Amino acid sequence: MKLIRAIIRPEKEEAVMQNLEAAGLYAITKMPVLGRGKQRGIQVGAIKYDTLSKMMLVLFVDEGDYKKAIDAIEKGAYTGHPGDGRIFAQNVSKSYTIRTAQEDR
Amino acid sequence: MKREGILHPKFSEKFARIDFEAEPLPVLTLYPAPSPIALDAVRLEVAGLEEHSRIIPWAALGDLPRVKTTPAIICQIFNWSETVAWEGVRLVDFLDYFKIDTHPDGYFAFYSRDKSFFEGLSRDEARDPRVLLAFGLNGEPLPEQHGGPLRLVVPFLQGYKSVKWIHAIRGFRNDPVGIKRLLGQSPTGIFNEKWRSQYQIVPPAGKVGDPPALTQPLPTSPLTKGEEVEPTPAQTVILPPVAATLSEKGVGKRSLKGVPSAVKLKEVIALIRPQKHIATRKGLEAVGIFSYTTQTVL
Repeated sequence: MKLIRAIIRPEKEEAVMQNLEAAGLYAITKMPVLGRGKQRGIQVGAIKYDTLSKMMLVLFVDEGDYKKAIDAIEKGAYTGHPGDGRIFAQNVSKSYTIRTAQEDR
Repeated sequence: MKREGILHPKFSEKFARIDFEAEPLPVLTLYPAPSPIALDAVRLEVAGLEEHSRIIPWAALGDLPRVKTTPAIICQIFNWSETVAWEGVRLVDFLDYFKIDTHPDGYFAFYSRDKSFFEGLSRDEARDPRVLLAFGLNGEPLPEQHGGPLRLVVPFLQGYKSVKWIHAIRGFRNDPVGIKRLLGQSPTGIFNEKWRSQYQIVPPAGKVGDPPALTQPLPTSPLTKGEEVEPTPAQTVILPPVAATLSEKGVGKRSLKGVPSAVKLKEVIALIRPQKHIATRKGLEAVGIFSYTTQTVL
């Protein structure tokens, strides 16, 4: 199982969600965050923004769904401009469903 | 309170000026207003997709037909609307007269004289005959606080698309991503159903709204096709250069079979006092770490 965290533009949330659903991936946690990349925010005229509004999506997916989850996020979140976001993935050693107290397999 | 039902979004504190008592329209400005100038002093910097930039003095617009319209201007974010009389020239007449164009599937960006605010319209939106370069309001010269001497009026999109203090127009092949989306303050300029039905708003034919409607094919990354990526306009991206960020996402660097072996990342979660945020950021920058995400927790 993989843990995927995607930090995307807020306005791309719906497109990413639709892509994930189309790929059969329905379970997700999301939260509004502030963030910045290597550009250290942006400067618009005289105004400097250290961080910008972003949406963070958190998914736990099976190994077999990993590639299509990444594709769904990338295609949905893409504009081609700096600030499209990042996707981080890591292995998950254990997962449990609280309702059943069963370990997920 | 003259106007009822005003809603204040969480980012309203970012606005340089908010005045709901102003007439005939509320005054909402994200950035400080520029110094006033006379209509005759307006110089429009324009550039189509394939052309060098030009500067067009206001007097050169004398041959364009003047039009008067009375559309509502609607601010969906703050939940108000007002119907006023605008006078101006049609943007499509201006674009045609001065032969300013972009790709048939392209965009225009409109820049405010405040040097900060800018928004984009698709070519189809910009060429809709309802879009005005307005210089008159209710029979008077357009007041400075409402965007005078010259502003954009786009009656079929949210109020922030009607850029005040217009001073530059530029063509783009790709969506220039306006300031409200850039700051995460509005996902799209399209009205919700409440406003569409109340004012019988009919969007123009063709490409309307940003981001592209989800019924359209999803764009393919130019990174996978070898096309050049157009820079975002009107924003100064601080070093390192944009190219460095884009190349990081280069094809072939990531293995989808698992966590990429070539990339060694460590996750660091720091729970800190809110008042230590800036000090922490400076500490990270001092050791060359510029990227992070923050979230308020309890």
